[in-house]
Amino acid sequence: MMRLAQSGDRQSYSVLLAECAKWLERYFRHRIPPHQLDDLVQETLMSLHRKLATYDPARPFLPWLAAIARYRWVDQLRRVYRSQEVELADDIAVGSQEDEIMARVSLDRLLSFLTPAQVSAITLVKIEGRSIAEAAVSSGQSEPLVKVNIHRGLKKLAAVIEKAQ
Amino acid sequence: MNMDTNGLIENLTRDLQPVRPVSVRTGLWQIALAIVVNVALVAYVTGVRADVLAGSLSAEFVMSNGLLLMLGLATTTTVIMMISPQIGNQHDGWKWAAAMVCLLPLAAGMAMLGDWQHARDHFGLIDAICTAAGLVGGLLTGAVLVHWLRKGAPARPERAMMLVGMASAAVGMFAYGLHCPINSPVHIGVWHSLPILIGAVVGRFGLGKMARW
Repeated sequence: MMRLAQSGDRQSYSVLLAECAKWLERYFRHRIPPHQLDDLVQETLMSLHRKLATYDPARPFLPWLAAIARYRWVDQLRRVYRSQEVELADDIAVGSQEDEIMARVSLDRLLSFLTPAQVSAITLVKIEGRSIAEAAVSSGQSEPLVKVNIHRGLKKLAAVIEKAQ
Repeated sequence: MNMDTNGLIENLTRDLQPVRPVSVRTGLWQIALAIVVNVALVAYVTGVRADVLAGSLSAEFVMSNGLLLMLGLATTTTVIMMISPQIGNQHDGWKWAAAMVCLLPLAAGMAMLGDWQHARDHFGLIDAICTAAGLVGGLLTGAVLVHWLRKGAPARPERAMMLVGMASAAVGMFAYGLHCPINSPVHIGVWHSLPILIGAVVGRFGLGKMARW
């Protein structure tokens, strides 16, 4: 389908983008505050569109899409300093359970490259949208340490986008 | 999926134009050609040292320039491979070539410790010119790499630009090394290695944002 899209087949492209959007929604759902989800999905679709030519038809599609999705996710975490949103949505059961697990594992693999203190700081501040002060109380780290752990953790995440399988 | 996303998909679909997938193989051929032209151009402008023209190469020349050329090839190849993102890609091969080039300043350091009186002769203007020539001499290679990188989608843009800086400097230094008549380990280890460091720093911190997407 991607090969057809690269050759200019609009119908295939439309179907492909719709499927990618669904996949991306599931992929990001637990890793971004809910109010940022649509923006991130749309940004990733636009990146996919801009970088359509970088897909090599001889290679599998999903690892390419996932690399772009991870790049946009890490970029989003770096850009958004503070979020008002605290609660994660409960209505998460969209799509098959298998897809859900795969998407979660895939992003969780990135986090597995970080120290527990970095994961805690990034999850609390960047994903759940809490303030630095709240994160410091919750994680038992000082406020400067939370900031340092976020900074170092995001740098590390950017470094393992393709490496973490 | 919300309405905005559906609208975006419609717009993107309408905007679709046929694209030719970027080919790593084509990229490698193009960069190989750029390196050849780059080296030939520098050699033409600056001239080639007499022993190279005569085919009687010294061991120091072969080792120092060989290491720089290997680093140039390893880093350019890595940059081209980075244009197509993919989970599972590994881009670590260049690190071994860089580690080998680190032997040059290491040898220079040992030579300086052993005989500082002679080593200090290699800290003049003529030595510094080699560094400047190495940096300028690889710009064509750097330009071709940046062109490819901007067409692609590197998952680590800053790292990619750092490698562009290193590749450009390594090719430039190799090219100018065909002219430079000095074989001293101090000169080679300091002034022929310095462009790599400068290229890496400028690429990473000065030009890193150029490859963002």
